[in-house]
Amino acid sequence: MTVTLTVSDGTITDATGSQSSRDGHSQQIAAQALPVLASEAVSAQSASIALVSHATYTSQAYEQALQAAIDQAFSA
Amino acid sequence: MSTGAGTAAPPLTDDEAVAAAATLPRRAWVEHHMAMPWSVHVRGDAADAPATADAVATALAGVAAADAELSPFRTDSALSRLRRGELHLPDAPAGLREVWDLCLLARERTDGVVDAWAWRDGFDPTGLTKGWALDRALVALADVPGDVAVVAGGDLAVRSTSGLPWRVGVEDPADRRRVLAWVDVRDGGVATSGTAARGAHVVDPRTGTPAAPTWSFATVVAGSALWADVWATAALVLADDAPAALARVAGTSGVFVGAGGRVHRWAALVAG
Repeated sequence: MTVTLTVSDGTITDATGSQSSRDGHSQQIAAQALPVLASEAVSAQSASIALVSHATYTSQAYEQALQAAIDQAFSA
Repeated sequence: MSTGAGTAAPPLTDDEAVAAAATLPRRAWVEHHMAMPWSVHVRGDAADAPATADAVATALAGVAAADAELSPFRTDSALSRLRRGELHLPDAPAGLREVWDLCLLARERTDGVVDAWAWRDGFDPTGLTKGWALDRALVALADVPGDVAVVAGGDLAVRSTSGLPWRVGVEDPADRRRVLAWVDVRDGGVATSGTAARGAHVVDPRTGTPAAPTWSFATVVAGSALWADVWATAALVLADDAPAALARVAGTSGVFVGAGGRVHRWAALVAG
């Protein structure tokens, strides 16, 4: 059974499937967490970001990317 | 440590867990493979151990070997020889055969939306190769005692031994020093598929024509980097059908961002 909460603009707009019941018969587990939207694009530092995901664009400049700065911060 | 009823500490909030993780020792190594930087991050007391550095070197050597075998840009790679008909699959190295089988599975599970055989130049697993190599590198680091992350080209595979999460930011395409969302991941993979700012199309392998440009990018969290890769790619092709499709993929979460600030996010729950 899969239950999905669809969140749009911060509002849960759709929940399909059965809700979790306290008697333990069906318990929802989210294998992965719901992403949190920043209210505006925030710096990685202020959001305590450990790693960064991004698309690979055709003109990729690693040195300008956030992950590069994070890699540098922890390299010997 | 709880020794009896009522002595367990309350669980940390997400932000407390992330703050606790930030106090752990942490070290990163960076090497260049598959025409992109690969970084390994180790968090915990083992970060500075010599054995850890050795394990990282071994894991990245595995990535180099995978590149030699699977690069479509190397004329002598097993993949290139396979594409030219000079090598047959039963005689191919184990890595290539494994990637082939995973591509079959991806085509099946996405109903052909991700299809490594739909291209003019023949079998092209490039969408999956990076995720596969990320997951393999993480496995190669299984004996490192601590939290481990392997990152390459914007995708990543992580595990948490401490139970504390890796907070993964989703980069803002308009400003690559900022993030517009984040997700806390303990065990799994994260991949982001996107179109360039102007004009690039994502081709729908089912039709050979461009997919509707509903989303400018899709970030997927899944149990592995390979499947995060597969579903992030699929989401761009599926366009308006992506939210409903990904809602049915247990064990995923993620966020899609489209034109005009349209955002969709989800976390598919699985009955326990």
